[in-house]
Amino acid sequence: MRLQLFWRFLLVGLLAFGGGQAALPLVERIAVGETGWISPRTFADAVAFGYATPGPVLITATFIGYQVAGLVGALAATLGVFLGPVVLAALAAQQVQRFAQNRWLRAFGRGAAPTVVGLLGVTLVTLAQHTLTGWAYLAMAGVAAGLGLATKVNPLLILFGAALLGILLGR
Amino acid sequence: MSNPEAPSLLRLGWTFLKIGTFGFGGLAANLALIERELAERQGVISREEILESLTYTKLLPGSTGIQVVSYLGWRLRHWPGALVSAAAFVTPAAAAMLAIAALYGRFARLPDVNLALHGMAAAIVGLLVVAIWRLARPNVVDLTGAVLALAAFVVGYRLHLSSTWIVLLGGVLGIALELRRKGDAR
Repeated sequence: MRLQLFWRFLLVGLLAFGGGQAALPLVERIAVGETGWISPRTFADAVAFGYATPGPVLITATFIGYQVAGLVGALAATLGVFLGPVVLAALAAQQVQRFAQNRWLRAFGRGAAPTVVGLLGVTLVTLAQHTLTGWAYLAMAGVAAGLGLATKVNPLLILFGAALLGILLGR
Repeated sequence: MSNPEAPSLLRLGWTFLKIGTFGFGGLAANLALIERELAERQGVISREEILESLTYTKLLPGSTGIQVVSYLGWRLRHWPGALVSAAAFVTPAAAAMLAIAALYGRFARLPDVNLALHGMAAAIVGLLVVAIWRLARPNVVDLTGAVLALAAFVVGYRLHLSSTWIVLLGGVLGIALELRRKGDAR
């Protein structure tokens, strides 16, 4: 079972084109549809926890692994889902550095890098739509941007303050 | 060659442990924190390199956040750097998820947690504005770049085309422009 957890999640990681969120339907297929490891309801909870914890949403694999086979299962699933992408990314760093002076790679980068800025804009707008649901939240985003641009305040402090303010606001 | 000014593996691990602990909200928060910590404060990674890491990892399968970490980790300390950075980055999330999994079913919903996350998400929107502004300046330097960025935004937002395809199309367009430039030079 642990081995199966590892290789099935390894496959999820290697097929996750378009990032972690894009792979969630794939996780649903293997954990609910094909194996019946967990119920649809538990899967929905697992995804919600994936968003509520820091880091990548595919950390959902840790939760599923634990439900299926305890601590070792959690480790197997976690290692499986991140190993492939992490190694691929390091390989990319190595190859890009090796061909850094290549004219065509540089031309590719010149065209591709601005599109990444545009895609970050998509992330920003989507996030803002879901988050800035009132004036108070809009003001918090404004203050965070102002502090980030104009001061050297540690952003971790900004996030911590925002969490406290969020609790106060909701009460 | 690794960067001669590169932080030690221990420092690198500690940095990404911190970023991994506060990286709520996925890629957005991670990117804002990475830009702030590694480019602004420690000055060991350039903003061009951060955008470069995003460019090439978006073409690869997998969670982009941890891939950016692995890519930058390799840049600083080759394979040990990549593996230590990625492991440190994902450890807080895995630990939190393990705790939740162990307690699952035993606790009721915790409303305060959602409120705290909502507040944090609002701040992340602000920090992401700062990060995008800083990453855009050295990378979008001419009209072509600005048009490409805008086009990617519109296509990504309205047509929901996968980011892999958008980045690939941008890169192919960059090569096409270079080919045309080569033709002009002749």
